[in-house]
Amino acid sequence: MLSRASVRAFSSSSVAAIKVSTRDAPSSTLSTLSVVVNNAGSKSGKSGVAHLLSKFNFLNTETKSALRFTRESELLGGVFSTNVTRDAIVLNTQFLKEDLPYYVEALGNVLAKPSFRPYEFPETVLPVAKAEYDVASSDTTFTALESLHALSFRKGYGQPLYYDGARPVSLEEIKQFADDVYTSSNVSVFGSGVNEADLQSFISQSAFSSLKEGSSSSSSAPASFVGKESRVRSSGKSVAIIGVPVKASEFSTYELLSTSIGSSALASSASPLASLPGAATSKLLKYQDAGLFYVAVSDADPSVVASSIKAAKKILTSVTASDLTKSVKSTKLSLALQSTFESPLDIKVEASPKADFSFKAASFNYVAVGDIDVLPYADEL
Amino acid sequence: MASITSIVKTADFILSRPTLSKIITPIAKTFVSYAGYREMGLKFNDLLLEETPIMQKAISRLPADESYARNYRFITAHQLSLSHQLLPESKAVKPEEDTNYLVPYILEAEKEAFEKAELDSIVITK
Repeated sequence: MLSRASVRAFSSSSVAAIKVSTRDAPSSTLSTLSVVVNNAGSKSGKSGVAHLLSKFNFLNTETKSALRFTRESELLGGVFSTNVTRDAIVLNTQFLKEDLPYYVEALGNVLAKPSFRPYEFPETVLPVAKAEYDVASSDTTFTALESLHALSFRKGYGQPLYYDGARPVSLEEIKQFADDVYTSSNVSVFGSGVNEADLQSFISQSAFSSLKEGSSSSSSAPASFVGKESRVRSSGKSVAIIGVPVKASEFSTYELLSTSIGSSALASSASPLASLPGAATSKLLKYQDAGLFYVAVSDADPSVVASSIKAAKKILTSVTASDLTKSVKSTKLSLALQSTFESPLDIKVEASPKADFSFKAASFNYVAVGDIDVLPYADEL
Repeated sequence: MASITSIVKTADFILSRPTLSKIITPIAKTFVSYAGYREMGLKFNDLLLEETPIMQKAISRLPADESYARNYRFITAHQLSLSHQLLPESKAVKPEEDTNYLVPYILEAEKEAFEKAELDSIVITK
């Protein structure tokens, strides 16, 4: 009796550590299962290691080869993908409702029993990672944002999102990183179109239950830096970005600012930024511990970018409290549009906001990418 | 051609039977000494036919030092062949050095190839 009770207590506690959220859709035949591994994004560990680890997902595990999983998944009609963000590694699967146990098992094996065959690294992982990096960095806006992150946060969120190959990462480092981050305290499972009780029982039977506990590292607000400037000579479109690192407590204020001048999350042709020549947008990137507000202008013609970024700077400095009050409702809509089941946004928008922003040269970061002979310097804005 | 997997299976079977291995092992040792590849500075795994996709994959997966040693043995053998010489007994590959360094990689590559062939011809019955 005593021993049975202790066994039961153990199994329930080890599963309880994995956060499971579900929403059922009884009429739908489609299920979506996402696994978010927090603290495993590119902000953690050595630069690039998280990206490489994410490319190891859905490769060979101890129980099943990558090829077999792919073919079986094709036969079941499911799709799977994995990507890395600055905060987390995300694994997504989509399948017909009756195949839930198969995918719970597969996702559990990916996290708990990866085999990390040495040949997979040069044969599969590195080419895919390099291709992804090449595609992303062919876009000058991506390069500019990477540079802006590096200026604003230096470490953590400032680390490159993808593996750039500048400093080699060994397979041992990837294994060690996987060992550190693939723990039950980091893993959250989001199931949509699935029955919660079913999902819980499948998870407790799958390899998820063999994930080790891990230490839940308490995240703190990272150090941020302003007043820096970076200029990158590059081919392609010219981009100029004004960015401000934002604390998590200031999200609502900067979201209001973004909506009032023209947010890319809620595009409107009437917004001040939309009237500028060149593609001018603003956005607040919301991460777990910090955010990054930016206004970006990009165009093939650098002189257009130069004039537009100066105009955008004027728009930023001229925002008044009444402008913000006017856009309270649309900000709420914008936040609702950006909120997803996997990453719900819980941001309260104040009804009477204050416009206490300062956009002097020392209080923002500035990145110019492209034809930097023509693009202005931060103190010329 | 028999796959390396089936050869390894047969060898394991022979070694698992004491009587059988008592008969076969001396014959194998005699064969190896007459084959003479050790006097050319080679290991048995160097002699395996490498012009197949599976072998190419296995060889490409060798660690850098193993791959270097393999190529060095080939160069030694070529040089000996050109000069019509054999290595003196002290320099010849010793039986304990004649390891199956390549076989694990071949087995893995064959396993993948067999699985691929199996999945390619899969029939769904339901």
